[in-house]
Amino acid sequence: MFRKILIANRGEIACRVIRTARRMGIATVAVHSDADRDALHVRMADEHIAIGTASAAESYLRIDRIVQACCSTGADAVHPGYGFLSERPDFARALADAGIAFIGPDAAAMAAMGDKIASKRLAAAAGVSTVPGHDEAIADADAAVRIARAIGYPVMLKASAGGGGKGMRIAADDDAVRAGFAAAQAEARASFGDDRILIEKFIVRPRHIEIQVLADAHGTTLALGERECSIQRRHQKVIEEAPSPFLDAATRRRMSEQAVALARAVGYRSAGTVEFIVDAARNFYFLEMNTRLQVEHPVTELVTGLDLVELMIRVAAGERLTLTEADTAPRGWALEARVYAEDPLRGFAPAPGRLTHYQEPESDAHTRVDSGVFAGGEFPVFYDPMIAKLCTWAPTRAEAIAVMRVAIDSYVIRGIAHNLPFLSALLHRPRFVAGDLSTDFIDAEYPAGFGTDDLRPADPTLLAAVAAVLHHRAVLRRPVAPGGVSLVVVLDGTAHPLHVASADGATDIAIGDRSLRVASDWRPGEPLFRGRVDDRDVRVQVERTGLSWRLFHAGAVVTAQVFAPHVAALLPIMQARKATTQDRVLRAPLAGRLVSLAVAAGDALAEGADVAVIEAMKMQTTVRAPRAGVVSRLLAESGAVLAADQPLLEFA
Amino acid sequence: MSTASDALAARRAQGLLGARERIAVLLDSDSFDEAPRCGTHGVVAGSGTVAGRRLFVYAQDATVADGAVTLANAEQIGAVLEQAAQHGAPIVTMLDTAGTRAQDGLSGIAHLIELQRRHLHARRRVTLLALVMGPCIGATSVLAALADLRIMVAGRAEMFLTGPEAVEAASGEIVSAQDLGGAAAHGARSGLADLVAPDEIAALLHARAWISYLPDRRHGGVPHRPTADPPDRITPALATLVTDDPARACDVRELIAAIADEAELVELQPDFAMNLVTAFAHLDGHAVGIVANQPTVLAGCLDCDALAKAARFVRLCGAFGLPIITVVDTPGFLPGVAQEHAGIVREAADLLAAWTECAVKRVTLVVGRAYGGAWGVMAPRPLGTDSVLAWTGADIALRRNAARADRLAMVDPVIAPEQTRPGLCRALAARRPR
Repeated sequence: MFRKILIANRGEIACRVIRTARRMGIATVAVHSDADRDALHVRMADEHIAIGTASAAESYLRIDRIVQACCSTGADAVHPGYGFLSERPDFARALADAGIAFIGPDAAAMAAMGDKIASKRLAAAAGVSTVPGHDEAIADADAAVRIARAIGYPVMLKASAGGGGKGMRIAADDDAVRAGFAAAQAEARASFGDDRILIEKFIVRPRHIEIQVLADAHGTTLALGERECSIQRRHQKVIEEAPSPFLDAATRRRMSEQAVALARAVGYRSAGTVEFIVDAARNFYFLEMNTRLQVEHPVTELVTGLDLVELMIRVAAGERLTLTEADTAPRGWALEARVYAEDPLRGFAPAPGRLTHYQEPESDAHTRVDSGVFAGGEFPVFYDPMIAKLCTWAPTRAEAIAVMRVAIDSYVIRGIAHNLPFLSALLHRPRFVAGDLSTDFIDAEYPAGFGTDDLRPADPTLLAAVAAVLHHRAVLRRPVAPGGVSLVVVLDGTAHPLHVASADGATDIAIGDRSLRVASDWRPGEPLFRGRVDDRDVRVQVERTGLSWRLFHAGAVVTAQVFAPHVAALLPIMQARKATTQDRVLRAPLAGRLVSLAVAAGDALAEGADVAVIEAMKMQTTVRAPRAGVVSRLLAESGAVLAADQPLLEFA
Repeated sequence: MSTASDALAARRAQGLLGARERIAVLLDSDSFDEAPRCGTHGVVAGSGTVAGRRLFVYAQDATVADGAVTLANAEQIGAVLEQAAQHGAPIVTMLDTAGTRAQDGLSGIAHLIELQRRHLHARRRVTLLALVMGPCIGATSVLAALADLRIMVAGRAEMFLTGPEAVEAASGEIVSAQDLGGAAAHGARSGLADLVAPDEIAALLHARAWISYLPDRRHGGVPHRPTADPPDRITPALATLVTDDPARACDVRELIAAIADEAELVELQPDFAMNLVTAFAHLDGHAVGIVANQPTVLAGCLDCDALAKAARFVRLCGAFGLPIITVVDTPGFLPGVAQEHAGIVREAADLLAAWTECAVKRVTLVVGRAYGGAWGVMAPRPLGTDSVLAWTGADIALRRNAARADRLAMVDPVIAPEQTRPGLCRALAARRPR
């Protein structure tokens, strides 16, 4: 067995690998860029070593420095995690040359699966079902039209070297193929330096279902069940689960057999994933094989009880797999929700910054959090915006969803924007609950995008009752009078008159025609209200800002203000004033580096005019004028690192 | 329908409350005890309670002759001020007035001067809080300026000595009353507004909250608010708050919220001299004043406005008897011709004077840079500070990169950032060494 493993990665996956290695008694080495000096994976590892500046190209992607780091620390194996160098055959070769074990497949298998055209041919030859299409690079637009007609519309054009949706086009007729071919070619050339384009049948409303495989160097190749990853946003997975609510036993068996056949055909060793798309009639087609540990591997671990990282390490060390597929039959249901540092209300713009508060839901037999951050940590702008993977397990899918909803309600992240409200909203959609999933789920459920209207509470009276209890404890700060007290809770502008009375150890709230009994040991200042409302376990996140409360619960984000009735009666008079004030300051919509500020004091801007470009997490965001107006002064300089909401300019 | 209720209805349509309604929002329900009226109206006055504490209040009634100051209502106001001083109870004033009446001529000015004198007299004894709800212009604006603290209502409050017409006549400059002396102008430019409230009800509810931090009278004993927030609560997130990366300047408000009871603080003048934060908070139940450099603005440099903001707040806390916590992270004074010509030397000297005049308990916490002369005005021990705590990474030196061999001599304990709240609570509870 290895003595010391270097993890050529960062963030949650580096931490996750370190945990398993430690449990196995193997020493660990973390590598880090300058931006990650204080990161959690660096703190957790037995040793750490700096490998370059913040940009990934100058650190986590530098094969030479990582090999050097292995030599200088005496690491005898490398776990690559996912992303970065995990699917780079030249990395595996460089390690082999230096006599260091690579915890993954060999370079040849990686290379074979790394090219979309080659991998599809290999799959077809191995008897794997593939999408009808043309697997040779296409000369020109005319050839593309001929091929598209032969396959039958609709078709998809995609870059041979592609990934992440770049260079993809869907075409329903000849003209669209012609137009899409040129555009896809240009995009592929720009993104990958390779303009080869493929055409294949476009599967309408497909599901994404993948099979986990695991193989040793002694001829054993196992399929460890499927994961359904249909909930995606812009080709990035958001929610995954195991098993799939869609597969029947026969389909599952056929998919598993084909996945194993493909792995055998390429001489695969280690953990890998064979991705399929599945249509409404349960026809499935090979998409690609990922020759690494998949981000969403925890859901497989939760239903099988295996530690895939441990198995990867053992296989890489030459051990023989003693498991059988019968040992690994899935039990119960697991879900994973990816928690991203991105603002759902700002078009999912990345939101780096400082985590002023960070409190994970308690981990137990039902809840698992894979994360790489801590309270006070900095979430850098340079890398993937994933904060954590929140996973839950329960005997049934419905229970796993219920546990996940509570876990999201309990997950306190402040200082940076995050997608927890969005995740919670997804988990409450009836279509999700019914298991009616497809890769266009998010676009179909939110055709106009995700906005503040999607944050409205399903049960406002519950939140009004909680707000009354908060106000009573933090502001009134005295026992409820014998006759009770009347209050008015204004939730996002709607008044909820209610009456508060004390009832042995709890508070009774009469609101409308309902009566709710609220019991909680919440103390002022705590960010999480845990309590029982009637007989339900309720968690509400609480943030006090001046005179109001911001509450987060079940995907809803509301502002609550609590008034005595005689004050609430005067509130309508205040409304007359509100309309007249207009914000004169334009603020940065997200944190990042101000690349350019294209206006000067005195400029007259039209509504929608480009004002500034902000770069964060490798994405550029253009800031546009929210209204017409004359710039009276600039409040930020090009090159500055901005916080979200930092003023950019002031209108006259 | 009478003219008075017509006037009230017209004001409501503009989003304005009547004088009695304002008082009702401020006070506990049904607690108002109105003083008897004498002669013409134009003001409503009396006493009541806020969270059970007695205080006195007057509200100018703009539905009567635009709330003009007359002999009759000046006497009524004077009587309430006198009662408050006698009872040792705070006063909340609600200003909304066109000033004196033209027909009163010079005698109107005399009423006003008398009123100013009575405000000054009351302020020597009790806490005085002014809410500027509407126009408060010319000599009447001084009534607001005489208060310990001021809240102004956005878009409605106006304070200036000479109005837009006078400005135009004198300089040709055309400016609106709001741009000249509105809440936004006094919130960000002059610092006269300790808080700009979005509307009247918010202004009144903020005033209710502020009273919980303030004693009834001068040196009247620090209000105590029992809390379940433990004094020994540690704050792990603070360990990474201060870094040597200039692009990641710490927001000192995060520090204050982290150490304060229940993460609750009231920031004064939040938009003025933002390179220095002044705030009220509770620590282990005791109200305290906090003065803190703000590294996110001008890198935390001290300029004329910041020094003046600090000096006023130190005197305020001294008068109220509130202990002061000073949080230091400043690279120095802001260099420049403009600063020197504006009298930064005088402002620095005045802050020094304010420290030595005040007799309250003082604890200084150095979290980052404390360089040279600027450190000298941020409550170092020679200015009578009771204890000086420093974070493990603090850099107390003559200048950046200078030797800090004598640092330990200037600091009592060095503490880990996680231990800040326990450290401050202990330091506040300790008996004064002198």
